[in-house]
Amino acid sequence: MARGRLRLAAQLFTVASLAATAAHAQPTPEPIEVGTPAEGSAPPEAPPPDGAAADLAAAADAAADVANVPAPAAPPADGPSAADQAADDIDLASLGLDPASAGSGEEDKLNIYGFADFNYWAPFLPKGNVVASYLPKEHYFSFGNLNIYLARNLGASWRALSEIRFLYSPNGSEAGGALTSTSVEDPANLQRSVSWGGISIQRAYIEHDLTSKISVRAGHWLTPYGIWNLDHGSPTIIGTLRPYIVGEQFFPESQTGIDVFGSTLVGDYKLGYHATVSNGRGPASTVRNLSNDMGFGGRVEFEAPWAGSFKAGASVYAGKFVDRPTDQVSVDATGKPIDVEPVGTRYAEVAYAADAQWIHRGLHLQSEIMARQRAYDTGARPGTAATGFSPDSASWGIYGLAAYRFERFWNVMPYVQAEHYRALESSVTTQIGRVIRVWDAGLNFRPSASVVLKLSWNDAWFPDRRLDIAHFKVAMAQISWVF
Amino acid sequence: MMTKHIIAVIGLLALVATARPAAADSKKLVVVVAKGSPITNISRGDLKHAFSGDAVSAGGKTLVPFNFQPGTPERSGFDDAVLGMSADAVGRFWVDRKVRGQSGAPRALPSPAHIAKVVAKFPGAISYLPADALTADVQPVKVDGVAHTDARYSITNK
Repeated sequence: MARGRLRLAAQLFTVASLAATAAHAQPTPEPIEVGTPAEGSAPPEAPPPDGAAADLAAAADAAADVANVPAPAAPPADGPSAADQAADDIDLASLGLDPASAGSGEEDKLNIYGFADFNYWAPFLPKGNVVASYLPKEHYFSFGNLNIYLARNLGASWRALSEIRFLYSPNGSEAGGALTSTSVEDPANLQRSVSWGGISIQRAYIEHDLTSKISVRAGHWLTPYGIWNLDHGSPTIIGTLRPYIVGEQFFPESQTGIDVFGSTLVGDYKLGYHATVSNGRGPASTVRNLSNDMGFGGRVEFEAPWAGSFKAGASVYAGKFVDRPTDQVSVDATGKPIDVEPVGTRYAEVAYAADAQWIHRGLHLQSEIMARQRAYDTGARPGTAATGFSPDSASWGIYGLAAYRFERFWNVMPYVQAEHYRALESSVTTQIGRVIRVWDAGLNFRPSASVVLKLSWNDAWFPDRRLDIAHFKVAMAQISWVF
Repeated sequence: MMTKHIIAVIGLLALVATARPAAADSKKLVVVVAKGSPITNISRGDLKHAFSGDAVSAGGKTLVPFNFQPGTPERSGFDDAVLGMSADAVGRFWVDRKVRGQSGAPRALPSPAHIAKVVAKFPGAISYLPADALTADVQPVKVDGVAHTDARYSITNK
């Protein structure tokens, strides 16, 4: 009897194992091999049909924007038929994903979001140090950025983005040796005092995809160069202070004009480019150009999955700076009224930059190097014979940043940054020194994706100091957030 | 007698051997497109680009990626296996892109059934599903030439 049960058990095990093996050997049916690319390689690219970009844009939505449609009950684990049934109960139109309207060019909703930061500034300067003439020497709190983004898909392959920064300035800014006050009477509060602030349109443009590899951006945009200038926002950049070479704007931070850009994938690599034409740099470059010279620029970039993510790029910009009084009416030798264009200040400038970034898990390394040349037109140098004229000059600088993001302690990222900067010759650098070296170290915490806390220690000095200036040291704390 | 014992042992071993891959299969995330799509294979690089904001064309269409919601085992597994990022890192990645003014994350859908339906119907849609949630309307896609039925397939949920 016992032998009989053992035999039965053995047969059952055998049958069960064979059945399981058979089930394992019968996977989901193989897909139809139509136009199958070579295995392991990317499928051949083809120009997208009209509206493909709109499809992409419609889908490129924040996770928080998931349509408020109740999820169906989890299908029972009795096979695909239950999943089929659950899928059949879903109305795609209620998700805003009606296939019939995909690519029709209908307008998408307006997305409003932004970022802000709040700072504590604590410089340490010996009493009487001349640097205090250029930078605040007191310890204080300040509200830095309050930037609002307005983004919308305008139809098939059309997009628009605006970023507007709200400022308390000009209230509290120095002008002519005095602090500016914007205090005025508030009619909504019994004429008591209220201070008004300003706005700065950081960028405002419209984009159109001509093809999958060529897009055109028209309006006011951030100059496509380097890493820092495009990272741009305080929550995104790692440190509290941007490197001098970025802050000094070797390239204009933003320009008004046309940016033709695109990218393509070549295997696992990504190649991208920008070609720009703009009003160039000038005192009113967002609304007019004070000469007929345009600013031209370009960038090429490369991205590879080398032990994580490696990116590199090179950028160039050439333009003419003109700052002059407005045109005046005069008369020629015959007494005929004519227009006269004052010379003002004019110089030609060329800037070059290269950048590289490597991210491997928590490790983050990046560096940018850039140079700039400035050559004044004859008779268009600022200054006087008494005070001296500004010379033609060149400047260059480099910084390197190393950081490591841990997945603990609020995702803390210790970082260290070093910089060497040789400035243009000017009245300021003549007084203080032309070479600036900076050490910056700190901690960047990210308790959530949208909140960033930073603590930093920044030490700048002038190795070719022309005055006996001690190191300029500042501790900073910053909290920034995305909303 | 001995033969019967050997048969019993072999049967047990076979059961164990087949049961383990079956458990692994239930965790596999199968990359899917609409049934009948010419896309039967995609490189991991293209998959990564498509789900990290780059326009990727395949089979004559720009791929439109759809995700599971953040925090789900499927989303965490896919982000880890394809993007090489933890859930926190993915969150930072998409927030940083918004600040730069770049496109946002792929649309996240609330359930496997939603994913299956959207992939089946929406032009160019690509997503991923647990192996046991595949429907007749979606088509599995090999990744770097490896089918999800292959033991080498490494995209799984967490």
